Amino acid sequence: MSFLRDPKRLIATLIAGVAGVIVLIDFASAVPNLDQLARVIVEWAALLAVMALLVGLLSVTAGHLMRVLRRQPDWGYSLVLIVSMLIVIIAGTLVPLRTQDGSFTLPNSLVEQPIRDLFRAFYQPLASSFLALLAFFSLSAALRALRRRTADALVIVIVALLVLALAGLPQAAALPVLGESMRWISDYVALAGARGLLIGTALGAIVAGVRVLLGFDQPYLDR
Amino acid sequence: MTLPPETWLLLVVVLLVIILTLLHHARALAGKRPISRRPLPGIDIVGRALARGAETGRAIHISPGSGSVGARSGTVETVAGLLAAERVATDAALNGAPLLASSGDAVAHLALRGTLRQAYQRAGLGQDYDPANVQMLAHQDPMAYASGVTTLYGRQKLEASQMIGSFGQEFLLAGEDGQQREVPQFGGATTTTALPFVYLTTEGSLIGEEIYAAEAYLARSPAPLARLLTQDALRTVIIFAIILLMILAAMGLQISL
Repeated sequence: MSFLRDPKRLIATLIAGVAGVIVLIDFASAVPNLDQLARVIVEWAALLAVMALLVGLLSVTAGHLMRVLRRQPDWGYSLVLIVSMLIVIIAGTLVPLRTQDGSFTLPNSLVEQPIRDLFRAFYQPLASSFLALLAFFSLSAALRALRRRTADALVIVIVALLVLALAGLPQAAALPVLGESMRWISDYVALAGARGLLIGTALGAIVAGVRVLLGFDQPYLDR
Repeated sequence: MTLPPETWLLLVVVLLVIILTLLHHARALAGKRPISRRPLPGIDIVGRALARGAETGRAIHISPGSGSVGARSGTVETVAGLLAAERVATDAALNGAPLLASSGDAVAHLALRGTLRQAYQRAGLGQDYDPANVQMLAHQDPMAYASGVTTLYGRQKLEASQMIGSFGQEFLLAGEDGQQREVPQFGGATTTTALPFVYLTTEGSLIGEEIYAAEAYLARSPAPLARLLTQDALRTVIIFAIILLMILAAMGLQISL
């Protein structure tokens, strides 16, 4: 059905299209009056994003709470998630902080000491561990690629190994053939490929953006 | 109101793209001239999984990645992932294949819920849509999102997994786990940090702008083909511009853009 015959879709498309054009013009240059309007639109978008976060939080909590109540498989992890969430919320909002004059105050933002301590104690080690895991996962993926013996996969693995070897042994770059070859590949082949990828992606992004502005694609609509 | 020259240039470019988009949309809908597409490797993985899923009852996982809608980077990739998810959801609704969708951002989560609900409603099967099958696994933390996807992989046997959208190096964590669990995966990304991992860990991969074309390949209707025509027209213009600039540079002419 054409969205011209559907007032709800038409209004949503008009709002999205006009807001998109205003923010686009403001992104290109600061036009008097228009920049204030664009700022208001972006602030509204930020506010809506916060509401979305709240809805997402409720959705996650409800989902995991049901898992715990129904004793579904791995319900223990859901319990850990709910307790962790509560601890972070309490640490970020209710744990009193001592001020310079000795009185106590509640945290003003999410970068106060209790939250920072929590992140340093739990989040940072976990995030680092996941990053470290990537090394083993890369190795596993490379071994499978070698077993598969497709030309593309072999090229990826061989180039990755060469780059890794050069990064680990900077002296290798001074070798007459190897160093020059790697520099040439990096400066011409890899750079050209990356630029081609960037141009193609940008073209796809422009078309996708225009189609959203025109209302052909409406990922924002939920009714 | 006086606009600076660069703003005019931007508006002219956008206007040209709008005209091209409208022309190609009309052409695709008219369907008078057949529009040929080059084969996209791996795109049939999802089609086969949809057919099997209806019989086996195993869910197909779809994900637009860990990016957000509205952020300066990753928005368009996430939108492309949402559109691809919508096409799969429409087919899943019609086939009766179960779906499991996940996202790594609160705004993308709401958009994904809306997209899937629309797909089921458009298929006339709005009552089959279950919001519990659309899960938000993390918020703006790609590694946490990827580890959430591995949990989904471990919790139930999946028919296939489509991960097209905003991904970075975290793709390896989910993709490799999927490979080890023998989940047929179809992935697509635009970043150089994700693409090697997409290529190494999935049966079918979409590279760069191909993720914007996925929707046209997955859809049954001709309208999404208009996107391909517009992209191809712009690509042709860029190729000619590069060749022209190369010739001018070889002739010693300096052009500042």
